[in-house]
Amino acid sequence: MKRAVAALVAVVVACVLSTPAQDVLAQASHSSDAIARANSAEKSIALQEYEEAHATLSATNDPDSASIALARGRLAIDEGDCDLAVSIFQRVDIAKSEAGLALGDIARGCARVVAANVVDRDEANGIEIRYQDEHDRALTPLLIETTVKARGALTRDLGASWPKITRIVVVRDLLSLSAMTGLPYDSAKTTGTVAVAKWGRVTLTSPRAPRHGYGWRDTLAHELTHLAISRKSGDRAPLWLQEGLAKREETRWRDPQLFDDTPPVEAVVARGMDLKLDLPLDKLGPSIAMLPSADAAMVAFAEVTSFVRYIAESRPEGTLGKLLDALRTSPSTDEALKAATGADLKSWDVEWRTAVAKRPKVALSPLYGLGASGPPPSLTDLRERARLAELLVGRDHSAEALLELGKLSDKSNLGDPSLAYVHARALEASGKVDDARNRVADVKNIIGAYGPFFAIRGRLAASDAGRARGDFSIAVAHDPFFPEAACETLAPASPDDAPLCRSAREFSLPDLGKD
Amino acid sequence: MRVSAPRRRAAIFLGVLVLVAALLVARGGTMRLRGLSLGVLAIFAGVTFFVRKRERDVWKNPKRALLRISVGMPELGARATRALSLLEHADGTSSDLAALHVARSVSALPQDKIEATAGRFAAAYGVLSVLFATLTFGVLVLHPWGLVEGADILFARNGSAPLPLVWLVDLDVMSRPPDYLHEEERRVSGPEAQLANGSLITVRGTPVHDGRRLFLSDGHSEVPLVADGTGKVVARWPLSGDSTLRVLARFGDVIIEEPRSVDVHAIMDETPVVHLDGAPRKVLLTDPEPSDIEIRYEATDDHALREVHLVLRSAARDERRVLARVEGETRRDSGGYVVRLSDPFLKKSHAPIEITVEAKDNDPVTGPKWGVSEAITVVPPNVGEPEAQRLEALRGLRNTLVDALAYRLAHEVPSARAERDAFLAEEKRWTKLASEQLDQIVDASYSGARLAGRLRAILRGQARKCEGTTEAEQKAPNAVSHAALVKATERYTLVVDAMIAGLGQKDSREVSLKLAEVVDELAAALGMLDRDRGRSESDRVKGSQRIETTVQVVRGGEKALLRLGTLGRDIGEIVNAYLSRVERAQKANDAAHAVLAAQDLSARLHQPDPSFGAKGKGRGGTGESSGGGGMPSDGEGEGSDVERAFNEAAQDLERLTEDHAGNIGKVEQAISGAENDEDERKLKDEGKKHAEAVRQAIKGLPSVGGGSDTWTGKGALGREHAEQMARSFEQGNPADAVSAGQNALQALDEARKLAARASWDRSDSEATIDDAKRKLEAEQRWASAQLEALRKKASERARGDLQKRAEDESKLADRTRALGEKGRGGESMPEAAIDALDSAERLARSAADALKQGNTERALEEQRKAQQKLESARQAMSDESEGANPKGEGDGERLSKDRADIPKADAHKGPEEFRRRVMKGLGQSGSGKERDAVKRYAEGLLR
Repeated sequence: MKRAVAALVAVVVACVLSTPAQDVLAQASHSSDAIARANSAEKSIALQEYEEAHATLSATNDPDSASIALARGRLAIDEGDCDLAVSIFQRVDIAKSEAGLALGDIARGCARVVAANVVDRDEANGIEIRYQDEHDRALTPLLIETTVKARGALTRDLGASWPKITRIVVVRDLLSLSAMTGLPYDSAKTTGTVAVAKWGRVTLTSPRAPRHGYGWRDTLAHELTHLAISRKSGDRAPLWLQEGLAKREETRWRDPQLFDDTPPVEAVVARGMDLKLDLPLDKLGPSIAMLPSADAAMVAFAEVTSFVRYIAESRPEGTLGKLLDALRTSPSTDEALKAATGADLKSWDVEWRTAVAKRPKVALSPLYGLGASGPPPSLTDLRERARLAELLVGRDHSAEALLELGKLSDKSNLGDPSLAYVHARALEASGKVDDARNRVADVKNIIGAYGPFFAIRGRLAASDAGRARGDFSIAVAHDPFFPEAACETLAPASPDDAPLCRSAREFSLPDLGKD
Repeated sequence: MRVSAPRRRAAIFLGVLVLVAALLVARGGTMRLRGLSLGVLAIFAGVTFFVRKRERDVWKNPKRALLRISVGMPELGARATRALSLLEHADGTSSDLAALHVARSVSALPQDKIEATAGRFAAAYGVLSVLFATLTFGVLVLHPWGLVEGADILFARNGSAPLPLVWLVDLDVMSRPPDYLHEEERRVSGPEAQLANGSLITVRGTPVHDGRRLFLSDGHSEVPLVADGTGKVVARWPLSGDSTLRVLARFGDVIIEEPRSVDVHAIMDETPVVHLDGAPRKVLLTDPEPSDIEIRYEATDDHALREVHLVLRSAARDERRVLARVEGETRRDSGGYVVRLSDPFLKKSHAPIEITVEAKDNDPVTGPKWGVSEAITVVPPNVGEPEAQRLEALRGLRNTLVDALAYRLAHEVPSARAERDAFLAEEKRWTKLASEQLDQIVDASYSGARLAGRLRAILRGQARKCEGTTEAEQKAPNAVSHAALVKATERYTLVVDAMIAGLGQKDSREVSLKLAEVVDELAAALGMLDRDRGRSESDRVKGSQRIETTVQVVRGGEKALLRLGTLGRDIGEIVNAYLSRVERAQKANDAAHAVLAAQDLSARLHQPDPSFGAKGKGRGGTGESSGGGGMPSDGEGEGSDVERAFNEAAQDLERLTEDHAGNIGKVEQAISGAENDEDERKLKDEGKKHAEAVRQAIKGLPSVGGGSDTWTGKGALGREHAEQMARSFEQGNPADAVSAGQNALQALDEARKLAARASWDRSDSEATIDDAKRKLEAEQRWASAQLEALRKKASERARGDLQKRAEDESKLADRTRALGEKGRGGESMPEAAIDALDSAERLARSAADALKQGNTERALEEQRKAQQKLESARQAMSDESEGANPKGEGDGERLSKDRADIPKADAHKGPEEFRRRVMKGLGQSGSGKERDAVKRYAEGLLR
């Protein structure tokens, strides 16, 4: 009898469990679990805790849930497995969702850009560098050195910690940068963005993309700062703090250089205020890279740099690290600021603007072109004479090039290092090596680092090995594929050339005036 | 003895009967029946052997023999047998006694009884023999051939009987060639024949034996011979290849062939032969002056051609163009075609292009066949190669200019005469050298690419300026003239330099886009190869070849790009790097990533921007918005300023031409507006009388002509114009009346000449014409006088308005002069345009003077001439802008030649005048009958 009752009960339970109502309940329970796990995984991904994210997602009892799939796709993008991400975002229900659509585009762009790339790994330092253009591989030692030093500096300054692997992707151009990161291509072109820290990695444009490179090593440090800030603050740092800190930290991984504050940020801020290009710190939008113009971006960078520098210099060391920690737990930026610094954003803004206004105004070279729609009229003559001089040097008429440059007034020079380079080359070719050396001796008045300028400076300072090393280092840090910088000579190629030199020569620009 | 002979006979007849039966069974032809037949024979043989042996044994054994003969007498038989046993067992009985006992026992058997029994047996065997013989005979009578066939079939090997048999008599073999050959049916006689493939062979004959399944066979397939209703059988055999035809009879699985056969050789329809003049050969489009490719072909076929195609193939693309469609029995077709270098297929092809002529025949038997000629292989230049060559030519010019500049910078005008002369000669030499080089560049074609007219105009302007300053220095060699020459050389150099940069950038973009199409094809080919993994080896080889060709084209484009300046080098490097990715993935058998890498390259080439294309100029630090915005020495050069000046001048000229046309309209409006209604009314009243006079004058003229070259035709035309004149009088419009009158008189003059030539009825017709002409001339004079008077009055009335128009015309003349000077100063306007502007200015001033004097007729005439000159200047600018590239492949911005909107009726005054002029112009033309229709048409156009 007992057995019969038990059997009956079992049948009834089975029937009840198989009813649609129970299915719905089970599904609902699965969904809520999946959503919770997906959210938790997303948090882990934002903190670059990928193993934890994997563990969270593996433990789900609804692996087919859209939320879980989205999180898995996001994780795949962060871990550089873009093929997997593409296949995940191809699922119809996910592809139709807003998040799936956006992430799907990035996954597809990423898959296209990283297809058949070469990858260098430094297991000891936990660095993975992927190159879209294999000719950029010559940068590996310098990228690793920069990464290691920058991570050290960030740990020192902000108490940053790092995931097991620091991922860097060196792309060939802005189109690929845009495809990899989701930054609109037009925005990248408008603001001149060269690198983006997103999806748990640094995507860096190759320094061979701009004609004479850019400060790619500092840029890498800048982007690593973003990764550190995201990890430390739980991705809750406001844009002004992100960019301000990144600007501050981008030069702190190395010894200071003369033009680290060139142009002076306060001067740029002041000029921006005059031109009404300045923006309130909390109104910078989603990214400086998406501001409407390069001028606006330049002013915004100056604003946030100056502001963060002001806070850092006004408070004891370690304050910025504490602020990041506070952001992770505080409900708002103001509260975090108050907790870490004792004042909210508004108070800091007023204090900082007052301080900026009090500073003596520093004239900004017109060569920066800030606010102008084109080069100032006075630059036309400079531009034309410099070009004629280049062409004359290119045809071995260096003495005549000097005559051409001699027609320029001293004032029209304006600290243009490219003109100085042409002048020095003409002088050198005319046998006036000492004059050439003197022409590039003074670095205080140049408007910024320019690879060829420091390359010739290093070459002409060969007797002073220390200075030459420093100059070449700066030259390579800005224009590593300029043969004069990478090879430290104008001599023709030799089998003993260093990898960077060989790479620079392979697709080098024609020498001066021969393009 | 009495039994054995009949029994043997019976056995023999039985044997024959069994054999006959077995053969008939074997005739069924199947393996089973043939086996059964053999089995029966074997069994019968075995049984015969056994019986015969047993019989022998019986008669060898006395006991058994006794038992056999004592049938029906068992006791006597037993006794005789026992007696025999005494002989066998030596038990002490004497053998003689035993023999005696045996003899007695045997003799005790009744002889007569034994014989009676034997007689019965013999009779039975005799009956059986007769029965067997009768049956056998019956079968032999009924199926005599059946036994032969059965025997033949029984010994068949491999389904074919060894002995051929004749199945048909009166054999008749006919052949009907395929219809498309349009040949007569013919008889095939003899054991061999040559027939066109596809012929229908008909075999007809009378069967030798009925009831056989007869077939016509070539050894592989069989066609049944069927009764044709006349006691014969027939089979039709479509010929498809060489074959030996014979008739056969089929018995189950076995055939018995006829001994006769016909060996037929099928004459195949041959593939058309196409001869292409000069093929095979290669045409290199990299030649300095490649010419269009002339195609001359001759196609022949053994029967008839249907179509001839020109086929262009390049990589995965192909295109067929019909050269000829042939009807009827044409066996030969020849013709020609010119593949122009501007052919879109050639333009879009970057891989070698094979040009062949293919001809199709009319063979319906095996299907139409295409004959293919040898190929003319067109090797296009690498993508971007022409552009790279063009740019290098410009670099050569720049080098010369830089050298010239260096000389001029390094030298001052010497004071000593001899040195000065040498210096001036050298100065002249440099200028000449640069000019000669420019001439070469302007005239040259770089694998089909030329320098755009606008750029040529700019360069020629610079060269003119340089030549002018050189000339000035030659005339007055001093520091000032030398400085001017240095300046001109600097400017010329910078213009060429900027042009190199600008053209390089533009070419790089275009080449990049072209190359993108090739890379798209590469990606598609890679994708296809990935999908076709399971396909045949030949498909895979084709796919690989397609990839290889495409990669070669891309590599060629890469090389050209690297020579196209900064942007070209940038994109060229990318092509190199990304193609390496494709190849790397291919080597790793990773087709999916090879496709992705190719797609990445394609995406990049479709966006031919600089890799770092910051629009900003600032030199920020680093980070998201860093970037090398470039140094001040980077940027647009002098060339773009000059180019801009050229474009501005072209636009100014466009506006000036339109404004001047507007002023002509205003003058016309002023004159017509000044006409007085009262005058018009008076003129109408008076005009009615003159209209009547005109109609009277032409009364005698023919109203219908006999042809355009007869006097009646011309007379009728004159009458028609005169009718128009009369209507114009009635409407009070003397201007139209004068115009129509002129036409009428002209037509009558021609009619008079034709009438004079005619031999019949000459005096009447000439007189009629002369009379009409005389009267019309009088009316014409009156109309002219009225018109003159009206204009005078109108001019006087419109004097104020015309003064204003005169001022406007003067201002337009000023603008024309300013534009000419600007063109001269900007060194960008072509000489022809400047000359035309000078003339236009002169004529406009003359028109302005005439307007001031109230001479509207002369004013309008001068204005129209000035307008023509302005149009000429505009045309000269347009020619320069597009001349080198009539298909719109010029460099950069083109002058506007786009469709212009016709202004609406309710637009401002200028368009209204335009409408009025168009309507007037159109309304004036044509005959009187059509005039109103033309006017309505014009109104419709302009509405």
